[in-house]
Amino acid sequence: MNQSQTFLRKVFPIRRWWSFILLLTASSLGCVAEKESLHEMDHELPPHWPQSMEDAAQKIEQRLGLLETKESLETTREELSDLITWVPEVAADTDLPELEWVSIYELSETLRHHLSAKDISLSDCREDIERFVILLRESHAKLPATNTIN
Amino acid sequence: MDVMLAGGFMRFVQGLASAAPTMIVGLFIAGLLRYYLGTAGTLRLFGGNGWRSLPQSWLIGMLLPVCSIGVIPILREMKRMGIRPGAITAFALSAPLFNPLSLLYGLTLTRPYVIIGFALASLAVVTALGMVWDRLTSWKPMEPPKDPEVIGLRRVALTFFYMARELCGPTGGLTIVALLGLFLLGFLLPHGALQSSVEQLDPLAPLKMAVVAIPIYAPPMLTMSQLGMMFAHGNSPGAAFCLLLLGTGVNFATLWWIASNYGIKPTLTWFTVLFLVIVGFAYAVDRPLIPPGVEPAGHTHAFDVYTNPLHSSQGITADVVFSKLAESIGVVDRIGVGVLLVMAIFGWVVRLRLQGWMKRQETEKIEATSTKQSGWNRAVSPRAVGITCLAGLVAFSVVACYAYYPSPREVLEEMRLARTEVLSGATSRDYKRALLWIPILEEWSRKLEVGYALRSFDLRPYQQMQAHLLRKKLELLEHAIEHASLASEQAKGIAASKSEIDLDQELREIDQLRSDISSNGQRLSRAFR
Repeated sequence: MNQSQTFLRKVFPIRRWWSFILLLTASSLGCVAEKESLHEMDHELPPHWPQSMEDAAQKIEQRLGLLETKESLETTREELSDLITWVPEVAADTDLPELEWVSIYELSETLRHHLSAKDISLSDCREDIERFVILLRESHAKLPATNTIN
Repeated sequence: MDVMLAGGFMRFVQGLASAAPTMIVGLFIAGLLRYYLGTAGTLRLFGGNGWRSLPQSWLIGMLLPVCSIGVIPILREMKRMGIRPGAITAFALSAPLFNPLSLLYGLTLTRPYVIIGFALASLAVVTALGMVWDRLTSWKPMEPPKDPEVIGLRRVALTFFYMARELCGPTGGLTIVALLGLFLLGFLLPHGALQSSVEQLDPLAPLKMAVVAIPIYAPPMLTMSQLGMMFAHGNSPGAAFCLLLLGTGVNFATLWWIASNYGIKPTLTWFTVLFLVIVGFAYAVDRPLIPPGVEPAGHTHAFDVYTNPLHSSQGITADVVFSKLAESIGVVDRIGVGVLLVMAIFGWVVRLRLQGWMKRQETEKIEATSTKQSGWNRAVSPRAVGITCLAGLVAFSVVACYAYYPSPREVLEEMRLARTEVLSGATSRDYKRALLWIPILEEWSRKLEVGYALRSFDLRPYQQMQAHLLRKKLELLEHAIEHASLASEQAKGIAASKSEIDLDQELREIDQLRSDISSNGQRLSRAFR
């Protein structure tokens, strides 16, 4: 009798404990809904995603121009940073040789690092960004045919 | 209700299949500790009873290829031998997290320091938890149990009998408890329900993941691929950390075993501390570890494997369930389940007929032999044999790394075949074939990176970018195919004209992606040759 009481006392907290976990799990998942298909949710591309290196160069120049007049525009600065970060992916999706891709990648990484760390002002790295734009245009011109990325 | 039950059952069976290989390894290691390494050797292996035991148990756990179910028989042996509870929990938590195969795989998923940081954070967690646990259990060193003295072939036989008996006993029972977590998730969560739960800027993402991860059982390689999907989709890095530590490290059986051996209250306190430390770490790393340049996709497919595999509108028959199971379980896992079944049947026989024999063998004293020892015929201590076996297991893991991640030349050939299947499936509108081969091609692209890095100790950014582009396009193709299938079904219905336009767009997108994937194949070959 004594033993069974001890057993029950032991079992009951286990059940209570599990119930707590189940309740927590169920309540955190209560609002989830069934999907018609596992791939019904789309990958939306941001509106400023560049279609090519030439497009990236244009968009970067455009943001640089805007920042010249409205230096405090945070969204434009973020978009500029996005564009510089995405360029290696856009360039890798063309027939650009690896050696030339590496120079784009390295310059993009350096600029991305400075823009995210905000350790130097935009006016200080403007020259590098302009050099980056020239590099993109030169690389784009070398491509045999127009390559695009979605 | 039948969809929920069938979905839960399917997740249970899939979990058993994925656990089989690492579970057999776990049983084997437990047998080695018991009959070869013995109490003193095991104690030394796990760093004795001093402070060293916590990091050393973590390190041993990192080297051995076991999962959170395979670790259970080892924990039982460690407890029987009187190893300190802190070291036991350190091993229990760390062994399933990483093994050489999954660590290498993980290093290609994102920036390597993220994965190394996750590994070091797990060391900090298990060390802190181990200290708390030793205090909670007020453990004191005990008289070590007497080790069996059996040698030779009888010892080999005893090891295998022990493995079978364990499987058809407490370890088997705890495996069912662990897999009930997967059953529960498959039962409760509708099809694809967790796709938007762990977004990058969702402040609740790490907490939600931590709660969902408790019932999850995941072998290390599966977790690594899930982390990869989370990083690729720009999901919350903190949530990824919670998935790694709570999803891979702990399951229902681990908690059950700890509670039944050390008491409910200490376990509850221990688990609360574990939960808080992990969630705290997760929130600390959530923002700093956001990968640069990854545009959040707004969803993830990493947790589709925990939700119900069946849609509520689907007709459920035994045929549907078993054909879906057959599609999702690979050859290696099927062999593993077969071996487990044979072992379980044999374990039943051992329990019914051979228990007495095992007991006699374990207690029998060995008489000093006067056999002449010369040349290769030498008496070797059980500890030497045990350590050789464990070292062999680690060496085997290293060799397995090279076998699992073949040379780039071989992988590129496999990729060529898989790509042909995907592209011809997309061209001929045989979408089922394309969808079947897309994950295979994705997996080969990961193997290509790891295989190259293993052999040349280098992986260039250009190579990583090309592999990333392939996976990105494959996922876009997967989405486009699903949309095209839906639009083509709708085109037969009421809103025919709008659906026809949608279908047209999807078909154009599929054609564009087909051409992109083909061009990527040439660049990928150039980059890795």
